[in-house]
Amino acid sequence: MQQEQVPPPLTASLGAARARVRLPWPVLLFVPALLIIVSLVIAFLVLLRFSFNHWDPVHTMVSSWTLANYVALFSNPVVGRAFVNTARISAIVTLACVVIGYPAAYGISRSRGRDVLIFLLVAPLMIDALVRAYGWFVMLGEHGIVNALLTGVHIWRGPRRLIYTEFAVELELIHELMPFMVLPVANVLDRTDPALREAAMNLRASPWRTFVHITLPLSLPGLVAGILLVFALSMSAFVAPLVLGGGNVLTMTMLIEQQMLTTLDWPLGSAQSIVLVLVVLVVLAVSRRQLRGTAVFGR
Amino acid sequence: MKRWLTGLVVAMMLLLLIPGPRSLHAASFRGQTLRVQDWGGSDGDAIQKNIIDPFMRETGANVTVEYGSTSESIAKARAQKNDPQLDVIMLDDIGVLTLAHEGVLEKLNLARLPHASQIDPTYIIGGGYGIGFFNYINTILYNKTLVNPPPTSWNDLWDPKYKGKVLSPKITATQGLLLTVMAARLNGGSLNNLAPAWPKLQALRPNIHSFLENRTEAAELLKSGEALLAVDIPYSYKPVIEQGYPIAMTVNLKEGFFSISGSACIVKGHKGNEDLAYALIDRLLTADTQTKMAHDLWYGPTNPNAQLSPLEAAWMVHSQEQFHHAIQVDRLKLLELRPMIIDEWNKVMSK
Repeated sequence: MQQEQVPPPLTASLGAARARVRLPWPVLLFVPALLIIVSLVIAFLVLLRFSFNHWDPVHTMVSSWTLANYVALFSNPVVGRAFVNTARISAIVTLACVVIGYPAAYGISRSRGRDVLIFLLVAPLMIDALVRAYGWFVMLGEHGIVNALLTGVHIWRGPRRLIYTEFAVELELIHELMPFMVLPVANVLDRTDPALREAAMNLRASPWRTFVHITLPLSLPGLVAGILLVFALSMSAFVAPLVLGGGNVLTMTMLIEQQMLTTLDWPLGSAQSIVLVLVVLVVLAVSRRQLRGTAVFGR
Repeated sequence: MKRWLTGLVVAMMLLLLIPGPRSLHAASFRGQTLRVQDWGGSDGDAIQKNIIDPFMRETGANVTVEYGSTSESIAKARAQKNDPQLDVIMLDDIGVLTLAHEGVLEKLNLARLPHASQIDPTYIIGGGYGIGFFNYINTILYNKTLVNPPPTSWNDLWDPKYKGKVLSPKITATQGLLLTVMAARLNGGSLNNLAPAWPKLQALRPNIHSFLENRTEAAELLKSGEALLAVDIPYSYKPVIEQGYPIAMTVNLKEGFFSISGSACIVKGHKGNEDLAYALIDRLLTADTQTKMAHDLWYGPTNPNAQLSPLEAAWMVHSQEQFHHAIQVDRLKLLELRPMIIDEWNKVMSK
């Protein structure tokens, strides 16, 4: 006699089902990031499509497939000038952030007041970029605190023009982007085993040699991350050139704004945006490979 | 005799029953709706207070207002061309010219605007497709304490004594385009021949302190003397002038100054009451309305009968003599040339 199949209890069925489909809870934490990434990719693809359209003075953007915008972009000396300005500013800001930021990160990682120092470092990020830029505007003005201080101690004979210069733009960007250099480096230095440094010093390595052969190579991943972040953010900076450049500093973002919001030449503006993004991605990819390749691990 | 007198009284009573011409004061538009678009912001607030609200009270009509810049109004009217959702649009004269060119507007019958005869002909836009109810100008402003005597020519901007002391408009603003036209004219060119503008603007570069981004910044720079001259629209400085900043403007320039008007127009094929649309536009043209707008916003009137205080009169163009000294530029041509102008400007002005 065939025994009747007894259905398993409901809870046992659910348990089995759950075991077959294990919910990857940590992966779900990436969902918000994924939404942002997907939005950015979609925006990029929309701009890419626009960049092949044709622009008409009356009807603005007309659907088309043309390379005319890229031809116009690469044959325009103003675009070349803007690119050079943008790249120069980004390089200077990145270098300054490395020179100032690395020692700061080292100090933070070795400090007992680390939390307070981190807070002070990121505090400027809590202020809107525009407000921050106008703060620099006030400080760097002819009657601002910087001119007052330097003329007061007779380093300068009289006030100098600091505002509406490339210097002012770079200063604001260094202030704004320093946390993006310091935090990755400090994080990596935090996780460095202090025993490695101690071992080096026990073997009579000088502090400088210990730094060069032990600390610096181990901190390279953080340094690379910081450089990439600062450079990318500098290349796409808009508020600082707008407020502190006073029209005297022509960057790619200023050109893109003119095309998108004034002449409404979205195809050309899109082409400029695509080229800027691609240039930044290529520079980041090459820089990342170069920086990792020069790591000295003492093996 | 008695029969004759009775007949006369009856005839007079019958005459009283005949409806007279439509009058705003008769609240004859009760229940009607008019859809209007204006600039919004402080402009919109002043229009609502000085024009729309009193108009609704007096006529009983309902006026719904939407907001948008001139560019936005052009885009909206263009998009709605086959099914207009607006009756009256208030926008810069360039918008009237653009939309009239595209067949979006109805040509105004000036005979239906009793106050149109008071408006200077300079402000009848596009052959009658729009009518200006305020004007603003692009001219030279200066620090009145440090610049004496005031500029008398646009060429003064190029004076070496103003090296690094001139605030120039950005090329993304209309003022930048107009400065380009002026540079061409000073160098023997014109709107139709802008080539002379580029070397002239290149010669101006050393005198430029910066390109205007923010009026408050500009006012502070003029006040402190870090800048001495600015090419801009005077009414934008009303808040600081009223605080006593030492800034003045001049329209006594040998070459003239540029004038732009805020205009009203009627959308072709609109669905609202035609008489109501004309009544509203006529309201914009009265000396009383324009006096109030001048007081609130420092917008120059187009009706020379507007009453201005001495301070207001010093800051806006209001007389017929001044109207005729204003330079009117072919705005459609300027719009068409704008991409080229921006490109060439960037070549000579960018570092």
